[in-house]
Amino acid sequence: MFVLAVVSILSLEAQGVGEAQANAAIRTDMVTIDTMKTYGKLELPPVTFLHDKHTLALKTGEKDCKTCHVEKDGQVVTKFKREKDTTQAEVKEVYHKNCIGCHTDLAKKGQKSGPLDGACRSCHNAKLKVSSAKLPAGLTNALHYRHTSTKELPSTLKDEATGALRKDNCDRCHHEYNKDTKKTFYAKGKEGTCRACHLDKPAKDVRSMSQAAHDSCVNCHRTLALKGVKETGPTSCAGCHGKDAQDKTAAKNKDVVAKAGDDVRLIRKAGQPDLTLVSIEKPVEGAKPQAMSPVAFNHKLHEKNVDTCRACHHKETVACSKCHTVQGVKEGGYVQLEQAMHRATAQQSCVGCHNQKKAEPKCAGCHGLMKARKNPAQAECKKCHIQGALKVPAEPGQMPAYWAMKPEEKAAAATELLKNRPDKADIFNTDDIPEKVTIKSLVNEYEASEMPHRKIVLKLMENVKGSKMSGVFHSDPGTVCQACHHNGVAGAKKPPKCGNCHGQPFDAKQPSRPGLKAAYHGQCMSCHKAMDLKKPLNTDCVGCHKEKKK
Amino acid sequence: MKRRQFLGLLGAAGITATLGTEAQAASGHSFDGYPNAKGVLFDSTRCIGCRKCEAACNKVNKLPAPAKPFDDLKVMDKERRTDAKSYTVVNKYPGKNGPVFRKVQCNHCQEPACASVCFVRAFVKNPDGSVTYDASLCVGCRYCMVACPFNIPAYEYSDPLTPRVMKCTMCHDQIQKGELTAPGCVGACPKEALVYGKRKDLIEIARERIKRNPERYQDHVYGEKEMGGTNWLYLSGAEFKDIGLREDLGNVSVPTITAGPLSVVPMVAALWPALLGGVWAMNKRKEKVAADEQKAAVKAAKAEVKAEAAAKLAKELEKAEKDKAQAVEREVKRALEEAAKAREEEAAAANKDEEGA
Repeated sequence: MFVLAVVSILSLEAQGVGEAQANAAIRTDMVTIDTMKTYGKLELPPVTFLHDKHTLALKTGEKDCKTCHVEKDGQVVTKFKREKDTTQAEVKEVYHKNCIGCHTDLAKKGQKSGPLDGACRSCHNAKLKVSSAKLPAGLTNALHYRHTSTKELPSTLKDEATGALRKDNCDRCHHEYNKDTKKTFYAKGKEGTCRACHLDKPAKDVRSMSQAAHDSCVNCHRTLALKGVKETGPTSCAGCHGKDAQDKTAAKNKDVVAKAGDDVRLIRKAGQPDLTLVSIEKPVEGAKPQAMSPVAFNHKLHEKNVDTCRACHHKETVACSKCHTVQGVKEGGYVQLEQAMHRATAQQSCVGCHNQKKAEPKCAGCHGLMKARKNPAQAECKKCHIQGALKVPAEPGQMPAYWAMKPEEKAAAATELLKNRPDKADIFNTDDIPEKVTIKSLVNEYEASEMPHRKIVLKLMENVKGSKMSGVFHSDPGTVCQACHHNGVAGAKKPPKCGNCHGQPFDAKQPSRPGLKAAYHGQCMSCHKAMDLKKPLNTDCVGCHKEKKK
Repeated sequence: MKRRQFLGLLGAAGITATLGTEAQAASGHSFDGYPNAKGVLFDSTRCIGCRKCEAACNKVNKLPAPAKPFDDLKVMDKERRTDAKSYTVVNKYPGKNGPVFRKVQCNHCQEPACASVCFVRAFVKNPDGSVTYDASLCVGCRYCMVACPFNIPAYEYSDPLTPRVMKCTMCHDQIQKGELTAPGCVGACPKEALVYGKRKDLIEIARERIKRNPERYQDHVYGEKEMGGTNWLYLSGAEFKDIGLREDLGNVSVPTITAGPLSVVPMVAALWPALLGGVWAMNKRKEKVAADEQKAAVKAAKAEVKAEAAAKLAKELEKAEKDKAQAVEREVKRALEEAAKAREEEAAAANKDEEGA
């Protein structure tokens, strides 16, 4: 018996190991070597190379990056064992000689090694044994702050006035390109996003974003590490592209942001206020534009609630209306301003981004069901397009000329508009919220359902209270009620009974309106599912209504 | 009828028959279902897998109690099929956000394969959209079970004497009798995941749901076109193949596929007797001619033989006569010779006597 038990435990363990290995087949460090593609059709399938696996092997063998990469001006070149691609024969030789050479050396020493000479298909194999779980990586606002605030990255330039090193270290990364000297240089005040120049694909004189990031970020991290700096950025693939590492970084960022408070800002252009008016572009002389009231926009508040500038901006951080005009122009992909702000399915539009927030479990219970409503109520437009007196000169019958305002004037106007906008979620007095609602109109094989109405309402209010955004949109006392009591009059304390509209099922004249039973079940279950509530289960009938005794 | 005429007619009939089928195929003929046929729309995004439909089906159809009760949801851990004791089952499939469910039952095809193969017409497509089965006509060949692309009809293998084919009837009898206004399963669904109504209305409802919630649904109503259209329709958030619905069936009904080859059957049935009759007649005539010819030949041969025999006889007779004459002559000659000899001997004896004397 004992032997049996041991065997079974061992076999269980063996199974466990098998699973771990199966998981190891999902990698973040897959690099497909298909360099030869540039010389014509590939003779053999490209090589799938596991970078971190090799880095780790080198580390244990006390070797480093230079085993595989050449160094140029103290910087590691990302290409394998060469500075640039020369001829087909030469590049091929570089790979074969060095890969197989290193493997052979290791094998001779009796160490574990990769495929040896003659085992062509061990590397050139179209059938992949691993799959990639590489996540896209990038600099977030918090990470940017961590780079600007660290002491390990002092500026390389001197302040002209004092002669001491500059306080800001923008020059460590930001640069402009001189076409004549073919060199990069730092230009104060011209700092922009990396992606403004470094596109997805390399262009003449400009590296791709991926190439630039690996050249600059990884090399800098490596140099710091060699200097003995304890806390450096990642140098491994998984360090930036792995799920675990990203979670860790996010947690660390959160700590740093919490400590730093309001300092976590991207350095905005000099004199650029946090509040502004978002409006249509300046109309041509003499034209009388018809437009919505401008939106009073708090840039700082939005910055805090998104990870990167890219959450709203595209590759450049410029005003939306620069490319998205009322009519739409080529630079903006002919996306009109109205769509750029309101398209519900877009990632970067106001409404699109707000919708993503609404998809979070604590909001999705109500908003999942409300999504079908395509046209929001008029009152909702006014939450952003605040109507109020803008103290700017305007001809009678003309829109106030806010586009002629200076930034600080716009900020003042926005402050004025926002002053009176309620931004706290509100609900009726607790005593006015019925504590229990007994649903008994459908009693058949089950008893009536006792719904803890007040508990539900208060829980929803608690969910809403966290953010300013939800505060603004739930500031009317009846708003939260609308989630279930939809199509009722907003703000009315006594909503109509569900059965007033939902009657017998399958009304041919109202085919999309569920009957009462399905309306109840649909409402409760959809909400519970969207909010990830585990109890009661959809199929646990007696969880809500007891079975009737026969 | 002369052989030439007969063959001409046969050829003409054959060409007409062939042209007939081709023209039919080219016209794109299809059966769009009975105009007011009803159906059921199943929305898998609404189904919660409670098995109330299974329980209701069992009750209204008075089927035997199942081995495990209907509130045991563990049975869904395995993919099930309909059987002789259950007209419908709900299956559970893994989905992106938790499990998804799909109800399985007869799809009530607009042009049912089961009915098309049934040579005793035990299966009928009713104007109300349902496909029903008459056990009194069934001979138990189970072609229907082979023909059904959805593997639905089940057989009462446990009944040794009067086994029946069992499948969902869309509660045809109960609705006709006024016992129910909608199939049992539809009435029992707590989520209106099942809707009973006119098929064309259901398609509109389905389209409307997709339009209102495009991210919730696959942009396809399963059963609108599959297998020539079914009266049970499906909406799904997951891909249909992932909830056990075959996507490889095509949009043409089984009867339409088999109609071409089968349309030749009547022609064969009508023309083969004529054709074979003709062949038989020709063979018969050939035989008769041959017999006549043989007779004549025999006659001629007989005559010849007779004549030959006569000639031979005559010759023989002549020869015999001749022989006879010769024999007579020879005998005569010998007699004459003997007589002459005797005469000579007598004369010699006389002479001797005379000498002795």
